Amino acid sequence: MTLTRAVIASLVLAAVVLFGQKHGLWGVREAPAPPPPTPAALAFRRAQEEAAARAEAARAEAARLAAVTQPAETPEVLPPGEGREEVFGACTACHSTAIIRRSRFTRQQWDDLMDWMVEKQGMNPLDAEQRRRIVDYLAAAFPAASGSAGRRAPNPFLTD
Amino acid sequence: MKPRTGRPERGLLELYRDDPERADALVWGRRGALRGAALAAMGAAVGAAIPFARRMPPGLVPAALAQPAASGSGGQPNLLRMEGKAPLVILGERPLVAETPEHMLDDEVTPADKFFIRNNGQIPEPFAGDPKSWTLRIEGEVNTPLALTLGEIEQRFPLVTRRLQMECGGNGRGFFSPETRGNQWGNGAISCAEWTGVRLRDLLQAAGLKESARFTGHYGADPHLSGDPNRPAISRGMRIEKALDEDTLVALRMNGQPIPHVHGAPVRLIVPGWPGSLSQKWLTRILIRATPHDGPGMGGTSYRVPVRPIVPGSRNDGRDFVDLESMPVRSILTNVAHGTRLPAGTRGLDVRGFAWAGDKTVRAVHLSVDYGATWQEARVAEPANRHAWQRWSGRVALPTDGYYEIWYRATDSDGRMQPHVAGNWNPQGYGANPISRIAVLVG
Ligand code: HEC
Repeated sequence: MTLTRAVIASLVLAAVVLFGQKHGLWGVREAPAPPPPTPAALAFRRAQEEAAARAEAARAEAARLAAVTQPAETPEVLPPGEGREEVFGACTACHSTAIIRRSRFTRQQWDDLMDWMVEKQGMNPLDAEQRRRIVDYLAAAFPAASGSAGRRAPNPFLTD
Repeated sequence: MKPRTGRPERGLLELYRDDPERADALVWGRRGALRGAALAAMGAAVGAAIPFARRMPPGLVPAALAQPAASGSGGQPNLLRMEGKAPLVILGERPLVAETPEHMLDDEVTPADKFFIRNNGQIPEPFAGDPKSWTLRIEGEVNTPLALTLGEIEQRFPLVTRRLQMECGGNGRGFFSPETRGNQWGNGAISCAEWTGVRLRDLLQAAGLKESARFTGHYGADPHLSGDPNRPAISRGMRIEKALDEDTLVALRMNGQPIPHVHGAPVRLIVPGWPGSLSQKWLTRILIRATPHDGPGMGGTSYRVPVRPIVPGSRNDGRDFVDLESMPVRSILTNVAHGTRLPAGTRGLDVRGFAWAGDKTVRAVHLSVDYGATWQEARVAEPANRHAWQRWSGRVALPTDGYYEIWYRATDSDGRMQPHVAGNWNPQGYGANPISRIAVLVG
């Protein structure tokens, strides 16, 4: 009798334990889900993500632009002549050489431009000898053109 | 002149490049009359017989030989390769300057990728903050100086959307003879995008203009090329009347999108019809002044033209010049590229493009394929709104095979036409708007 009761009691106990485990009343339980985030926390996280995305976009854009605005130039992009290295050294800190190569001026105009570059654009003044060499080079390499046939697009109908 | 033996075309091309005056004298004859041999040589130079050659004005270099480099066909122009931009013709990398060839401007509303680029300084670091937090200041001769974020601006003031033409003050400079200082633009430093923003006059009204408020001065975030933080790259200004024009916008969006960085994100001025340098990019501050602004780009020969015409090529400090304000009338042809080769037997060509005239409108556009001997009128549409460019279209007859130039000439609402040559020469090359032309070859 006592034995029968003990068996039943243990069976009931086992059933209760199993039921309890199955329904998560005891035994191995998963960590409780965190409380749902407050709206403020959600907004903060979103703002952080947006800021990171903007920073990344800004970095990418800056890199794209740098690839275009910082061409790898060497003095050889300028026509050969005495003073070429000096011109390249003195004149490419602020702008690429395209602005020089596009120009066609008289010696006087090149000379005036040196003053303009110093007075209006913050170029360090050139000493007299350096200025003479630079202006001589520029006036020889990029002399005045009449404009009607300066540096024009090539004739589209002649390819040789 | 006898046609050169061997490769005459080469010789003539070189001659034109090296010594155009002499080439002209040789080719066209002393009295400017076209002679048989000279005509043959010219035909060889452009690569075809020239119908209507007798009507080509003496001394005129054929368009095939005389287009500024940025006309963008033939040869190897330096093309922009950048995500978000079409292959525009690079005029300079630093500062970044790029022209849109006419034939790439066929859209009614200029898309962002085909918008020309002109910078005077470095391109600033892209703004990584929330665009709504960017601050714009309005200071000077006002009752209440303002410091408004873009977020506040959008909330407080009505947004308007307009199609507005915006053109570099130096557009067409490449047509001047002798050559002047500055970027040698063809006609492609022009755009007509759809801008959304608030009217500058609404902001000025909120700040309250004092009696003394007569001029503006504009400041942006782009650093000077030297990197010197105390030197603005460019800072120009205008008469207060233009600032109060209903089409002068503090623009926040371009074609419904945030303004691309290279075009002035997140906010820029749009001052339609006046030199583009007034449409300050990366706008940070507008100073209201009692006297004309004196920032870099003002005074002297900058954006200024002679009142009393000066000798082309002469030296001048610009003291007696006046500021270039409303841009002169101009036209572009957008559906056929300069240098297009048409099948033999082509006898007609549909052409279209745009025309505009600063603050004015365009009354007419005329077309000629015989060097201006005869003209025919094209259709001209109304602008979408004030300060938008106008579509023109027409059809020209090409009576034979051979080399043709299509000339297109707009007339503004005051009756002023594009002149035959770029006039009122000035040292920095503003206001060149000669009759536009492209060359085509039939056969
Ligand atoms: C301290 C910076 C700096 C230095 C150094 C400098 N430049 Fe410049 N230069 C400028 C700026 C700024 C401009 C204007 C750019 C613009 O508006 O597109 C300019 C413009 C020019 C132009 C175009 C002028 C025009 O109106 O067409 C030429 C040509 C030029 N520079 C030549 C030179 C030469 C040659 C040297 C060397 C002797 C030189 N630069 C050195 C800053 C500089």
